[in-house]
Amino acid sequence: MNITKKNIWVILAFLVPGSLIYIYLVLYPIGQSVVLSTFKWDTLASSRFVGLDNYRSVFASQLFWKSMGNSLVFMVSTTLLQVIFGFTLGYMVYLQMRGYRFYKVVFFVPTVLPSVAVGFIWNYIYSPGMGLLKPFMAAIGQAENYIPPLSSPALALIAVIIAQTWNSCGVQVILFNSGFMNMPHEVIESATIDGASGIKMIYHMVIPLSWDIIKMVIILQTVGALRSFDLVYVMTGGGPNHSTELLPLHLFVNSFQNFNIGYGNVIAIIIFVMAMLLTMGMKKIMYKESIY
Amino acid sequence: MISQKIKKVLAIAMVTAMLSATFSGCGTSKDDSAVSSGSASGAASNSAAGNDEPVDIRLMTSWTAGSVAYESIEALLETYKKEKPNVKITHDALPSADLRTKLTVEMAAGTPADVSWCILSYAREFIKDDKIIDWAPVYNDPKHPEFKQWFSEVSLNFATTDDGKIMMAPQEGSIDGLYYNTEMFTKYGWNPPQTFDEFLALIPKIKEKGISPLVTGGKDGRFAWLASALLARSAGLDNFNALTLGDAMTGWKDPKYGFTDAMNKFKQMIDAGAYPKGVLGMSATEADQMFARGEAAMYYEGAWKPGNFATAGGDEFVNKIARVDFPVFTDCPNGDTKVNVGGNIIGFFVANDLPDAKREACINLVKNIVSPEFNVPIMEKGGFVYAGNADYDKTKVSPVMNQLIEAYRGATSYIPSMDAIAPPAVDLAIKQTAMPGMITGEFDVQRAIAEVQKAAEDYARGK
Repeated sequence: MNITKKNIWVILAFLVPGSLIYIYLVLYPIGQSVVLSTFKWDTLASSRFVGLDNYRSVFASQLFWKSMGNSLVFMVSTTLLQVIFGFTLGYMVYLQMRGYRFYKVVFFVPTVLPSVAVGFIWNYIYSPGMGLLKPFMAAIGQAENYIPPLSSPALALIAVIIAQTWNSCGVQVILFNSGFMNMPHEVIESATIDGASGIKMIYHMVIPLSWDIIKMVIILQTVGALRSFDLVYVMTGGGPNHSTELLPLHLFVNSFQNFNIGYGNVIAIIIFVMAMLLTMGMKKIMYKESIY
Repeated sequence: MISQKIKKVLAIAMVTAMLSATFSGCGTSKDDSAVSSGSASGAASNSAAGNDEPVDIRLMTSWTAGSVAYESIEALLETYKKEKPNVKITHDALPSADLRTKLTVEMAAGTPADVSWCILSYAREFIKDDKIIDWAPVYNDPKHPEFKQWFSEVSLNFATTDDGKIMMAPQEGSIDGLYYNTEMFTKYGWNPPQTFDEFLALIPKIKEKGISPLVTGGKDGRFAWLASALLARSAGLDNFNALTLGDAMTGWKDPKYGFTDAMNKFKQMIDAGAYPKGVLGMSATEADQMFARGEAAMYYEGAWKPGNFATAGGDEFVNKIARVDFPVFTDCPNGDTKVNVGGNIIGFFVANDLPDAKREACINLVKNIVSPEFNVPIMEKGGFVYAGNADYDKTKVSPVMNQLIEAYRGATSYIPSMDAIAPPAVDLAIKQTAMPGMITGEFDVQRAIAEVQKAAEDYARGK
């Protein structure tokens, strides 16, 4: 304790650079965003204080609530799908079946592609004009049931969720696989000797032993989904009729196309608050001890 | 003890080093920028004094690689580089939708491009804040007599504000066209529609043949031109101007201004099956290809389309295309039957507050870009219609391009497309919410109008 008191200036000197950078790059923009959310821009150069008007506009906007709904559906769906597929594929790789190294690479390839490229690939697949889906459906005799996914408000978000899952699932496969590889072999062997196999093995041994990885994947996915922008922007631009407009895209359209910066900052604050609440909630789960 | 002292000294030394690195980093950056801006303005002044010190110009255009104009602008810049080695030009080519967003963001940030392609509605917002130069003094300057020779009063008036400022140097003129595939029309014995009733009557005949009557880039929100045509045909020029330019900015739901009729007509088009299934998932490029493959019979948009059709289907396909005016509405007494969508809605601005020499260099660059020498060859290749007065070789031009140029030069009146005249928020509400919402069936006419009305009211409240 004495040493700490003696070296208070050294400690401060260590703390100051990082703190300054943190304040400038993190806290200042957040504060700035709160301030800007109370202004309205009459022209590009002149703005005026409007108090909470922008907040009222946001909460009264049907498009905001539509974006909020889209974001929640997107967040839950991509997380669920990625956990399910990541876990399953990661487990299959863990079992080291024939050719597992090849599949490991195949599963990971979409992850290294930029989101913009992924957007173009899936656009091409779905395209009614020159895509792969339409001829495929015709080939299996379902031509009359073909609906261009990105043109249908009911299907567009699902189509984007599939593309997002395809793009990001590789990381979850690797994460789950590395988690499985760290499971104590002797425990798994004992379970095998005791007769555990198949679903029983997964339910009673693999899931509990890899619970930390599952939690991490859920947290990464949930927070990541909240800020998804590029893939949706490339694939649909938020359409048709805002049916794929997520909160970050709603922010973008209002801030940079409508030039309603105050409104956009309110959305930014809402995303920030949601991310904080989610992180805190997840943190609470994280602090719970592992099942084993 | 000694070791503790050494540790302390080392710690202090490291922290000092980190702090100095941090602050010197900031300082260097500031110094660099000072040097850099100092050198730019210095260069400009020197250049003004006759020295050939370097001048850096950032140019933004919507002429992206693959377009007819892209090769021409790159060739012009190459020539410029040889003739004026002291002027370094960086060319940012972006699709027009992205360019508009970038323009707005950069203007707000105070770092606009020095010279940029721009659409009228955006230039109107920029000149309110003096972000771009007023061209009126340039046109009256004896040093630049060419502008008055190249552009008619009508052209200049299009880009003139109420207080007499000229926002841009005109460059691209445009006129709308209902393009149709003549080979297909001849084969099936169809006539290009002159009235809206004929248009509606034609739709089932086209569909019978398994062809889509009309196609557009729904995913890209390509409804701005159609919105203008529907509104002008429904309500006429005065009502159109009142709604879009501000006299009746919040009157979109008022039937007397005609937007209700316009949306009713659009609903009739949708109900008749004018668009193919999935049009909202189709980009403009895909729509062009569908038209070029003969899977769609008609296409409605501006005069740049023949260039896109050439990319999609080659010259052979372009030679099969012809245009007619958008069909007239016989049941709308206030509607204007002659007005065309188009006019001089696109030009080039120069950013304000540039050092004198740089400003002069930018004006000279714009003079090259808006000159007949630069534009006529592009027009002859079907890139767009040039806004200025210039002869061109009709034999080099496709039949549809000749039709467009003649229609443009002979038009009695114009209205700009919705994205070139309405406030951006209202334009977006029309082309990204109301019209797509009607196509998906989520909105009826009243709901679509309400969406536009709300956007207009929000915009008006902010003013």
